[in-house]
Amino acid sequence: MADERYFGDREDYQSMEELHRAAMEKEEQIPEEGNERGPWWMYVIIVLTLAFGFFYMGRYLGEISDRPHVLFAEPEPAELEEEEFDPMQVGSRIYTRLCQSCHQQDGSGVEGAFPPLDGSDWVIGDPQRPVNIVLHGFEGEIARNGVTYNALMPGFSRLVSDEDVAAVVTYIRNSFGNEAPEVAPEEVAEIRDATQDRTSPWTEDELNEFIEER
Amino acid sequence: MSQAKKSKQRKEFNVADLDRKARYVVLFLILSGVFWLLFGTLLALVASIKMHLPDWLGSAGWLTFGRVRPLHLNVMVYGWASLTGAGVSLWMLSRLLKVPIPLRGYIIVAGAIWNIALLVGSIQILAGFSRGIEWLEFPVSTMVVIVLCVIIMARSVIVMVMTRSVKQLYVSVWYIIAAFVWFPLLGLVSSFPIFDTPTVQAGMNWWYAHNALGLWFTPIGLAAAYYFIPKVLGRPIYSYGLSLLGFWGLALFYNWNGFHHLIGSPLPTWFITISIAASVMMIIPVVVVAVNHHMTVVGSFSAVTYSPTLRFVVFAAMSYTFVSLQGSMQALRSVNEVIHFTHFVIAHAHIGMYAFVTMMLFGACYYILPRITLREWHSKKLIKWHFWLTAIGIIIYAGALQGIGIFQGFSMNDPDVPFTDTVTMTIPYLIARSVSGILMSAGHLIFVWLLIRMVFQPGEQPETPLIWEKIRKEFAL
Amino acid sequence: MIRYSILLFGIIATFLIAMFGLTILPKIFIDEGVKDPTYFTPFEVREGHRIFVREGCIYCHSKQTRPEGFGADVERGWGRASEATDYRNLLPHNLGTMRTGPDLANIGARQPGEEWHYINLYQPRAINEESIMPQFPWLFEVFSEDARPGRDGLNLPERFRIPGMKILPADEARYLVAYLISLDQETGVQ
Repeated sequence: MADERYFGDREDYQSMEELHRAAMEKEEQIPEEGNERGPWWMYVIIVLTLAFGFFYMGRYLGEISDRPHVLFAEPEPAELEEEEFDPMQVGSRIYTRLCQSCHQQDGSGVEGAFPPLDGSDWVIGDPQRPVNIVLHGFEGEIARNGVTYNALMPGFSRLVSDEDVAAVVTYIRNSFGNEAPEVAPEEVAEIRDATQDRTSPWTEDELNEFIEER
Repeated sequence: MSQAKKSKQRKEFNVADLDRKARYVVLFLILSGVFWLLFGTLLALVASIKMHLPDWLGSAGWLTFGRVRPLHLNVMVYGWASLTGAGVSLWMLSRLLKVPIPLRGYIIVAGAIWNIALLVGSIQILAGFSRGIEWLEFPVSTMVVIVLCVIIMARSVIVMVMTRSVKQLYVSVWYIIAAFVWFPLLGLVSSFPIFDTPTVQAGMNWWYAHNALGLWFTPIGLAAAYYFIPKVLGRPIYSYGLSLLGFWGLALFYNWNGFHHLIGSPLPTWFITISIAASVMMIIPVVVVAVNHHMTVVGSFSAVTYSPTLRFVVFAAMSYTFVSLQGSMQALRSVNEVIHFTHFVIAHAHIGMYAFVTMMLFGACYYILPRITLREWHSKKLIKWHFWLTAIGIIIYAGALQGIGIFQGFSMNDPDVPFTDTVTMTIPYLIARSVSGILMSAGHLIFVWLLIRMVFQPGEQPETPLIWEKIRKEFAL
Repeated sequence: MIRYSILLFGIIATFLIAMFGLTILPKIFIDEGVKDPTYFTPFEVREGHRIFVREGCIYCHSKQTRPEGFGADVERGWGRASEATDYRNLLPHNLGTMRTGPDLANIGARQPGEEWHYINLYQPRAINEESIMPQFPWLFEVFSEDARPGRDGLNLPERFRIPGMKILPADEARYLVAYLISLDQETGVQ
């Protein structure tokens, strides 16, 4: 549907090229810009943005130094307020953060690589064993359910408090089908004191020896 | 003699002459760009599918996610968007300043070297020689070659401005000059070996990466919007004053945005605060440009049915407004706390590079190519398919990833949610992303098919040209 | 011509000022406190960092922890907020901007066991069914059971084993794991 006012007739042109050329010859220049002022609300936005920008800089500039995290330097003390301590809840949280990547969410471990916690006699037996392993880690060979494991578990003594260790040990002693008495933070503190010189993870023999001595 | 040459150059050229002279240069740059678009699309699909099928092609080192993903970014940025963007800019400049593109031989050689550099760079990244800095994965030597090629093109830009036969510099010209000055400077600074402390390098990294978008692609995209909207509609740009305000606002504030990528990182707080404030200030040029474009188009929106160019350009201009305002929001610490480190930001980058820059370039291609080849697009229907596949594709992409990105961010900030859950919750949306990727790829294939038929002519030329069909005086394609 | 000069001047000036503000100025502020030419990084760690960069780990794992009160990095047990001095002489910087996988700034403290890393690199699904991390089998060597006596293959679950074969970490895997284990902001080897 040709617009004849604009290009004339299709038949007037021998080829597509010629037609294009004709179309381009008649192409209009970009008209000169208008000079409107724009709607009033645009100026409101500009002023508000400028005001906010300068306010933000003034408020959050912190200090002119090389220090990062200036605005977050002091954690709020309000969070330290005493709340009811539920070892299972706290323990579950710590388990998710620190233990789950190896021992898995359901405590089943990874066969051949990381020993299971469900049904483990070390977990539900003498609490000193799990507490010690959480504090200082474990390395070397160990046989569980007919499978030999040989992996290194790190100690978490500098990452977690006595309460946390007590909570997480209580948690693993009462999850995944395990059932065993709670562990008190005082017991953990006692073990931490007794083993404070330890720098390397436990081996099976060392741990057994330590338990027997006490 | 040079005097004689000069006076010869200053003669009036008509549009057909200009386009004839621009033919091979611009066609070469656009076709190279489109080749890298296809390659980048393939890489994008591989990377996207690997996100939910991690063992797919898992045993091939050179196809691992950590190499394909950065290559996708680099190919799209320095291949597709830069080459095509350069071609489109040179063409617009020649039209606006009424001089033919000078030093055409140099530009073609530079374009060829650029393509070789991209090929070498691609092999380098797949083979594991990545520089390892986001947006700068090509090794420094490769990057410097690319920058030199841009400098050669920038020389043509400057010559065109000096020898122009019009008095006024139209707003698109400002943006193009700025882009061709800024990008080489950016590239050279980023290649300087003085940022040898990791955290300082991180600062340079994000200053560069944000500015590559803000000072190279954004000016080219906006120049195209300022050119094609009034050109296609035959209506004047709403306001010269607003154009001016928008341009200088961008020059002043965009430069300072980079550190909002580093909120919470170990860089000095006050730099980050300045960047956040500058990001918020970007609202000013963005709103001004949006008003300027909107008021130009308003009342003629129906023209998008006739003009494929206008359809892509209007979509792109709207995306620019959206993505920039979103960016200003994202920079605020309280928002950033949630969405930083999540898929939200990935989607944001794609709205910028795809819904804005890429769509704008598609629109420009639909206008430029018939004029420089003097041939016609084959199918109006396929152009429509191209538009809707890519538009719906990017909308699904952004919707899926930004939607889940917010939840991912809140879960990550809740220490009681196991980290694995923040991964598993995103899987359905990553699959949706792959689906949207397939839509966009289909759109690209249609575009390439149209392009091949037009340029290399396998098959007949259409009897009734598009430019001929349904044309109205005020809606010239 | 005057307008053109003003334009060009404005374009270059705005750029240079921002460049000074966001690249040179941070360098002036940060370099002094961080640079330490005597700082020693073992060979394995440097090589491991190179492989970390080569395999593009940073596109999914950030290596920076945010301060307490901003995000939950500290609460998640990812360690204290990163400082500039935690990043000394390994380039590129690897701060990262994505957490498809967990942050690695303190992975050495959280996960010092080499075996875990080897299994996770060889086949992440062996440790976490839901992981979407790529596998890196080209960092490992496959031997028949009786070759290399005295070295045990990876303890993989049954379905990822190759019958009659054992899988040993190659040098590249050992370097990469050495690097990962060195990532501990308390002991400060970076």
